Amino acid sequence: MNGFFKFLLFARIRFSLAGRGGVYFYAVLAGMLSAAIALAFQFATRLILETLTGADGAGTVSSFLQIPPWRRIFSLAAGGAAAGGILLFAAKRIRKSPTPYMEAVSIGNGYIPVRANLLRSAAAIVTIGSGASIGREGPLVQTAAVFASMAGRRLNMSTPRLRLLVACSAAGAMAAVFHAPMAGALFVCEIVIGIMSMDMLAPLLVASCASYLTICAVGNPSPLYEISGAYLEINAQTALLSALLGAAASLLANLWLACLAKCRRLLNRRAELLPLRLAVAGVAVGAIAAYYPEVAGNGAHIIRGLVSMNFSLGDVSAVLALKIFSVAIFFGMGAVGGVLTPSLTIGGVFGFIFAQLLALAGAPLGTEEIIGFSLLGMAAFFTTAAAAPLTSLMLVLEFTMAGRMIFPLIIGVLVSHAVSRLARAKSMYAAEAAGGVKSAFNKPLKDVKVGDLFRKSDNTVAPTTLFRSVAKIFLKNPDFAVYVVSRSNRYLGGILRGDVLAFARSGALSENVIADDIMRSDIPTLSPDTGIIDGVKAFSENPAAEEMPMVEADGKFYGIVNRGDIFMAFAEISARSKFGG
Amino acid sequence: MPFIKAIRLGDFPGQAECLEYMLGALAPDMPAETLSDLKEAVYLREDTASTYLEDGLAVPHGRISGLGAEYVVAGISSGGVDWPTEDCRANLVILVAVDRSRVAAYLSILQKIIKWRKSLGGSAAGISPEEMARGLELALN
Repeated sequence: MNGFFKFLLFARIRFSLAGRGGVYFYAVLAGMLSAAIALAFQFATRLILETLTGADGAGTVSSFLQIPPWRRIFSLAAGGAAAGGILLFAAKRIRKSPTPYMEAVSIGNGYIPVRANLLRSAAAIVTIGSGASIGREGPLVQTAAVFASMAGRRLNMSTPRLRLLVACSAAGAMAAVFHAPMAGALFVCEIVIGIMSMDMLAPLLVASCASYLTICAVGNPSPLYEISGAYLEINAQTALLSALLGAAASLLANLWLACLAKCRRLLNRRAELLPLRLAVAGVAVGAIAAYYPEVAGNGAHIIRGLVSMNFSLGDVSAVLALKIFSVAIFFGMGAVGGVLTPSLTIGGVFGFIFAQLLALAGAPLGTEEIIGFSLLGMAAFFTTAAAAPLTSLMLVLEFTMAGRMIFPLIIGVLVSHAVSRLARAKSMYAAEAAGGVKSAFNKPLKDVKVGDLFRKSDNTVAPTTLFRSVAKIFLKNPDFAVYVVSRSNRYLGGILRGDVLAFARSGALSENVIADDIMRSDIPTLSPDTGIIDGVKAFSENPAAEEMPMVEADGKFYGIVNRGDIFMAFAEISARSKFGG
Repeated sequence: MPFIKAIRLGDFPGQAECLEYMLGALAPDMPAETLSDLKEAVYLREDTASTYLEDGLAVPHGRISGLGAEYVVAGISSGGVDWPTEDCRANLVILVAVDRSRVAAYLSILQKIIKWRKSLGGSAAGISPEEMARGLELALN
């Protein structure tokens, strides 16, 4: 073999997509794909908004300010009815339920049905585009996850890899929506996976950074709500007030969670009435928007108003009550949309009211402090709502770039988290991550089998396959081994890359050697029923094995299990078992 | 460097008799149990697919456990042996025994044997066992 070819092969093996390097390669692709989907989603919602309102569509509230009250009601009602129609069509025509991405990653196998979910995404685009008081992050992340799941299945990924790819796409989508790569990765680690480990966090960060870079390259890279003037002096008084606000925001978030659950239970009953229900929600919120257009949209406009100090205490109190009502009614009636941004908005408004009340009570608070408490309320509220202190902290820091606020934010977030634990609050994502689909990742460690983590292998040959064909497989995809199976799919042995790659281009051998000549029958194998603990042990005893073939009791070849996959799954499942997840 | 032995082959009615003779040539140099394993492996391999290559060359072989070194027994037949059919008539039969774990060594030996055979050109039937042993020693070294 000439030097250049040797180098190419070395590089191909070193950076094999089956190994750890492949995880990062796919993470980059997932991140870029998520960013593209985020941009497309944004474009589609803006198009709907322009169509329904006839305004320029720069933002929901600014568009609503340009149109008469009746048209605001029309936009929301028409959007609700159309979205309800799409959801009804999906419920009637598609048998597969639209598995949420959280469920697919948290307890599932990474599989997300395509058609049902894309129809839900279409419904979400219509709802959000019409100005509904609901966030776009949820459906956007779901859409990105659908495409990632589809791509992963096409690439024949194992369950752990497919889950990770879907998780990477979710992190990328979050980073694209909030311009917050760190928070995007933390969101998935903390809320969706529930375990914080470098093995997980690193690829998620790669995906969210790739997504953010893509957004920066083609769009506006600035933070969503850049706030330079937010500061709370670091002293005992601030610490005490931050703790107080953290506790109060947590209690309010608990009420908010109960309100959402109650609304869903009471209002979202008969599927046939979905178009009517969402139209009614549209009329109700439209009527409010006729007087308070700020309640339309996800609440980003309110957050901007808060940090620009555009609201009085009276205004903001009314906005808080109406916003809670608007989000709850859309959510309760069964609209597809996120409640992350609305939650941040409610928390921000609550922090703002807290600061204004302190000022009324005689506390010497300037603009910097009032904005500071608004941010603190936002982070503390979301901490309880999402059961995610780290994500809340990082999200608020990243999308405001208010780094000086870190100390009071930490206090507020910690106290909020502690109060939510005491109150045993269930996160707003708890139901989404605990659906019907189960996988190895929802079992106790002792019940997980290596068969749960397998992937099919395309690298199988018959004993009489010529060396030329075997070499071709290795040159195309230098995996650890090619497996030799009989016509009835009985496992006979494996051909190791290390044995044959140096001869891969030998013309002399190509027609004169068959798979049987170079096959090893002493490669350690696993049964699909082998427990994951024994599987890990087998890999530990065979440090050179990058993968192991799985052979059923009757000798049939089942598939392969990859070293990285089994260790990754073992780490995650054992960590969950440890923490009782 | 593998153990090399070159012998002249008589007229055999078939492939099995030829293999039996060549394996017998290894008897003084290989423990009986190992030889028995090798015999089984060689026959099994011939059952899977013929080891006739090209230009009158056949390379029957077996990979077995516990073989200390590689063994090469080269046989030259002026009349040729059907391997196993008349259209695959082997003048040069080279029996190779390799340890089960040494796949790369097997491929290397086979590659060198094929190249050496090509270097001879035409029919190899006229070559003497001594010349063959020397040639193989040079080729496999």
